Amino acid sequence: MLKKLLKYDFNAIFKYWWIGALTTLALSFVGAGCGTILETEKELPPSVIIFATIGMVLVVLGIFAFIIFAELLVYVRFYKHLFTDEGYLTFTLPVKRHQILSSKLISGFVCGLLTFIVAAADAAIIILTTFRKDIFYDGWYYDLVTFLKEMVEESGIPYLTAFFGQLLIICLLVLILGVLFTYLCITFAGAISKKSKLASAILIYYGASSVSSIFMYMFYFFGASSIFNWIDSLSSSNTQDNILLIIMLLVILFITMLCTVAYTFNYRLLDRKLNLN
Amino acid sequence: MNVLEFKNVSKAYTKGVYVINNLNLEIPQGKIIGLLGPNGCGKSTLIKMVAGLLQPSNGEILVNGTPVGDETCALISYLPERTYFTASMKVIDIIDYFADFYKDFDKVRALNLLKDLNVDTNARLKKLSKGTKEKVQLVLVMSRQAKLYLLDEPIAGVDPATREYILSTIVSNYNPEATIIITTHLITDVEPVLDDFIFISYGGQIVMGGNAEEARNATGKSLDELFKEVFRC
Repeated sequence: MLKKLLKYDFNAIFKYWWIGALTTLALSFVGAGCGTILETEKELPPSVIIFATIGMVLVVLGIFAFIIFAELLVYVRFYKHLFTDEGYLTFTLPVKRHQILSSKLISGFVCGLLTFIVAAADAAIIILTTFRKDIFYDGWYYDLVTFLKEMVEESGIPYLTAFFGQLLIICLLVLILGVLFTYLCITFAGAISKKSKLASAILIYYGASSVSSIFMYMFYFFGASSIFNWIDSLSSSNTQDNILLIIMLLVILFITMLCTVAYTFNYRLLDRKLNLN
Repeated sequence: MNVLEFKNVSKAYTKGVYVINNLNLEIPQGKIIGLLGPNGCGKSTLIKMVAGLLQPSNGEILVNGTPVGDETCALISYLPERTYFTASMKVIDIIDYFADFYKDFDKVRALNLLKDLNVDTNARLKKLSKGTKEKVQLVLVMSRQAKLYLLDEPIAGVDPATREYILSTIVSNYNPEATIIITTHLITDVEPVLDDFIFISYGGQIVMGGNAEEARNATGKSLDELFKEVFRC
């Protein structure tokens, strides 16, 4: 049943998503053109420069708009499918509630990941085209290979694999946590609010985001900065590397724990506190 | 065998204010039952609790001996008092959706019924009138071979001619081993199809119930007249 739920969730999200993705990819080429004009050494009329600047700003705004659009697709789908009249069908399907939640989580995660990839590709197209002379100078390939070789010699392949592997896992977990956190806000609003569920969800989301941001800043200023200073003070670079890997592992465990709590709480609310009036 | 049992079921939306208060009820299989009561007496709340959309504050509800949950959704075919479709879907899409999720869904029967009702299966749901959407929803619900059908106000939003068609659809597509619970206050319309009736009052209290035919013979009154007598303002 999870496969069937996924099929419908993916269809609902990606039926609109790909239009946004293709549009921003096309826009990124426009941005690359504008960037090339702005970086040219030739003298251009002011009107062309103004046009190119406005074009570049619009392209960047367009890419941000696509990211927001993709997020809205996921969260509006979650809200509509579960807490509006459509919920009467969703929650009477012969599927387990954790399957409903898992389907939403997987589709939201995949959409977020693909959106990130498309946005990164857009940025890469614009930057690599605009600054091609600075980036692809004579011998750039040789310098890049030398840099990578030095990095491997200094840290070793096992360390680099562990470092970038853990970094990738942290990024993916943060994405999952972001999706789960937003879902949880919507579900919580759906469970406690009788009428203005959407307004309550937005309020809870921004409230919870603000509180978590305060905690993050506090942690950074009072905890993380001291930890990094301490790592810097260690004499052996090997010890520094190992401690960094251990800290990254602890971060992975911490985010995994947060994801598990958010998923479980969300599931419990859907299972025991569902109130579709 | 009882297809549905309520054991000391209570439901309060606000603490201490009970819409349903300590309800005990057993509903056998193979009957068409009218759950009848004035507006706001808790009929829809009761149905939603059976469908798993609301959680009872106290007590237990059993469907075919199993507590309401994921498993019982496969046994119940539920028609809410509102339309629950995604507006952008086509009628044929929603039929495929039902066929995908419900093993007991008869797609051929659904298509035939929609053809009888002159519903264009390629039309988008947002283009259909409220009455047509309700017809589509009823067709989907009645095209399943469920153990228990919960029909919440199935004829409230449609014209009298269509009401007749809907009721005949309910009766002709009904599996004799299943039970249908119909909530409505349009008693005259549903009375001919009912085997049993339950009059439910505020707080979910059952004030009268039993076999519809026997009640008519014993009192010399129709269910509609009995209802007016019991719930006179």
